[in-house]
Amino acid sequence: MALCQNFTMKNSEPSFSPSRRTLLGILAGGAGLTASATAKRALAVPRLGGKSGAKGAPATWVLDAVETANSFGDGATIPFFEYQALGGGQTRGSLPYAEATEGVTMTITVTNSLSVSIRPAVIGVARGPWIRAGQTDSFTFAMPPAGTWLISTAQGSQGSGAGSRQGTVAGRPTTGLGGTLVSRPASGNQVLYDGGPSYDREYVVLFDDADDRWNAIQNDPRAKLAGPYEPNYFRVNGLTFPGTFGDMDTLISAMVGERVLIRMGNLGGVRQSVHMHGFHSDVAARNNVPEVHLGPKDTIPVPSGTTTDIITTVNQQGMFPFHPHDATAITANGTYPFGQLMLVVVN
Amino acid sequence: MAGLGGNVGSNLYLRAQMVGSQMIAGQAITPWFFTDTTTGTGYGFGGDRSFPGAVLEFIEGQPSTLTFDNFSMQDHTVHLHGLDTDMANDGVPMTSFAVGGMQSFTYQFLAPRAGTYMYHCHVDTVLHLVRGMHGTVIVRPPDASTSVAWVGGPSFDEEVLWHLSSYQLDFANLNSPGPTTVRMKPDAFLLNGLETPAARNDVCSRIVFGSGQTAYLRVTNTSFQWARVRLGGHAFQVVASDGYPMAQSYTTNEIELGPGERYDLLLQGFPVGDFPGRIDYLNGTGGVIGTVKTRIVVT
Repeated sequence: MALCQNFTMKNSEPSFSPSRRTLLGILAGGAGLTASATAKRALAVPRLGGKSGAKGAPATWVLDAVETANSFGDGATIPFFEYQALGGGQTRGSLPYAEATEGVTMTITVTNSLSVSIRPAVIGVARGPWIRAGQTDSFTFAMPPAGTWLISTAQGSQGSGAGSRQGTVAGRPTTGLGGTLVSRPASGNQVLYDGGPSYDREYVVLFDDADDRWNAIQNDPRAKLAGPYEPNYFRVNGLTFPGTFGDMDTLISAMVGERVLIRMGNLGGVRQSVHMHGFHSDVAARNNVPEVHLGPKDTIPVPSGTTTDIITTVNQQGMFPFHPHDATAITANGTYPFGQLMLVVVN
Repeated sequence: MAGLGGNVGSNLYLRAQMVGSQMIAGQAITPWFFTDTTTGTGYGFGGDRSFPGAVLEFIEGQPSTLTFDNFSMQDHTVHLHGLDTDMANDGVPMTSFAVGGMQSFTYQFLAPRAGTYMYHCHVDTVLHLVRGMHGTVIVRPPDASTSVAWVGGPSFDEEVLWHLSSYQLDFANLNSPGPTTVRMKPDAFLLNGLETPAARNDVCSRIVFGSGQTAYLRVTNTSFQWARVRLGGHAFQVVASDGYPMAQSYTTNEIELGPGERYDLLLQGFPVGDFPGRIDYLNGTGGVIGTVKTRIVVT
């Protein structure tokens, strides 16, 4: 009999234990909202509409590469490079985000406020010019097919010369200079791509990571790296838990029965295998290629420098963790739980 | 495999233990593990070793329970990875609760579709999982068959589980995670809890089947590394992952699993012979950091 009572709880309001109240406090933290209000606000955030790239009109995205500092749960503050969005785009968490319709002309303009040269690129689409410290330059390309694309950045001294810090490989940054570019289908329909799956709401989840020894010297063009890249700090949309719970773009909120598109990207140096509690998800596309082999999955690989689009039909209410299953990635230098821990909230 | 098909039911039991001794990378460590004491062994996997934990086998569609005794002084949970339980039974302290030392809890859930799943402790996961608190869940078809993967799915003559994990010796003296539980450099790369050469002839790990027969290999990766599986260079069919049939099965001669993934493989048409089954553990950038081997014997 107790068993039957438990099963009926799935469709009733959850009762909240003290531990849940603690969590809900985190959810509401910083926003001055009750947990319930926070969730409602999240659900009210429009997830659609390409204002930065109206259908057919050329689009622009203006970015400034700057050095920032991220504080982590273990008390450490680590310098990062990040793009700040100056125009034509938005943010997801603290990282830049833009969208435009497939096929339209996109121009990305980057100002380099760092002390090292950088070369932005949209992985698999276009490479920009090397941009020296203090300079501004642009590159223009046709928006790729509808899907999820990543802006990535190499850094160094144009690939040669003494003091060059070639810590990155082509198409994969290690220091946070990245962002997401969503290409909308030409039809304007609410689908991942024309002829592809539909959805009710969408989120962007962009993983990256950092080795604090590398980041400490990243803005010194004369510094030489010692040792391999071994990340010990991990972020999602430029945030870490509990910030991932408090950010309305990173806290995944939905109503029971909705289909949620989660656009996952990985600009970190290591690949991740991401597990969602409570639900299986359809893997719609990997690196913008429709996935044909896999059935529904609860743990989904996201290789470095790639994107994976999943659609989750949330069929039960509650709060469910969503995190890489290499649990070192849900720590701050080993202190647990921080890092890339996210939450799915279903009302 | 010895032990598979022997623990099928809808009301199962696990006990968390943090006692005993197990040799890993040449050193005796105190394992943290899950045992099913109802089998009378006091051990985990196969009844002859501490970790991985006992294999749990539920029946698709049945209201099911897992009674968990935390027979230790630390908090632990059982997270039923991939079974898509409700929030209260998800085994995550942050969203439900931890089971305190010397406390018990009975998880309740509807057994999902037949397939391969896993379980692990979700308290201080970065440490507890590596110390050995993990196991495999198999969900059998509604008729509890142990020779058919799922209703309408492939049938098989032999069934083997490869449960993958790794161990790092300097975790063995930790009771809570910290700066040493990152940048992992495992000392041991395990197949069903054993290293090479012990895994080579392990009755739970080696695959023995007759020419013309079909073997069904369930692979679960509870390590924090990626794992590449090869079966002596022979091609096999990938038929399911994470508890669901593939939308389109395919044939390959190697497959990589990320941490937390499961794949079900169908071995058919192998020639008579004795072949190496090899698992390479990979770091986050794809480099091989360890290997464990066993045998594939086709008679």
